[in-house]
Amino acid sequence: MEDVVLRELETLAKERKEDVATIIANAVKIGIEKIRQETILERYLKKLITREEAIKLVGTELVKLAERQRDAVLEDVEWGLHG
Amino acid sequence: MKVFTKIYIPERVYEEVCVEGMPGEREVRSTENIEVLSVSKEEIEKVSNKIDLKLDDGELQALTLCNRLKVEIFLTDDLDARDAGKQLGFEVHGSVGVIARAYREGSIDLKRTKRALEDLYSISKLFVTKAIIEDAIKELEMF
Repeated sequence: MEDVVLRELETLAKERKEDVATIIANAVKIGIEKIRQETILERYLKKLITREEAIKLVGTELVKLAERQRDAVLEDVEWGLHG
Repeated sequence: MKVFTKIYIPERVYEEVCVEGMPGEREVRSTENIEVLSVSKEEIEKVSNKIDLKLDDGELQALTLCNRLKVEIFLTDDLDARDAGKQLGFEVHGSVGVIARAYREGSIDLKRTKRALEDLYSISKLFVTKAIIEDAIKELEMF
């Protein structure tokens, strides 16, 4: 897995004509934003914030995606264990 | 993989998964009950015309195979493909379902089941939050 990441990193640096450090800095920035969004979605799924609050913080699209994913997972668990 | 007697996958999906270092690569290459089949453009177009969702090549090819083979279950983790599969009348399940099923049938123990579910969050490219996986694990622990 590490090899794949390293290879991807080198390929991206070459393609974007940027150094590896810049690519990593951007990746960290994007990663932090993703973790922020995920934290908000988790708070929503655990009913710690309302749907409206979650939409305000991460947008309708992500909230709907999280809901669809939750429904799919619950459906799968039900089938897997009892279906 | 032992949960099913036979698993059919289209060429496109095989190519996507069987890239060195990809999660599942080794398993797909070494599992004997997997058969890789090709589908024609005409077949894909017929299936594509029946659904109102835009899907990637791999998902479309998989649905086309399901249609041809009249299989009972379509396996996918793609949410749009999941909806499209249901539109076409298939029973659709994803990785979580397969893992839960393997646990129920005794193919894997609880520890391995939990790890497999956690890997879906940390290793796979599947969009799933930690909270959803934790819910699935809770259900398993109660089983």
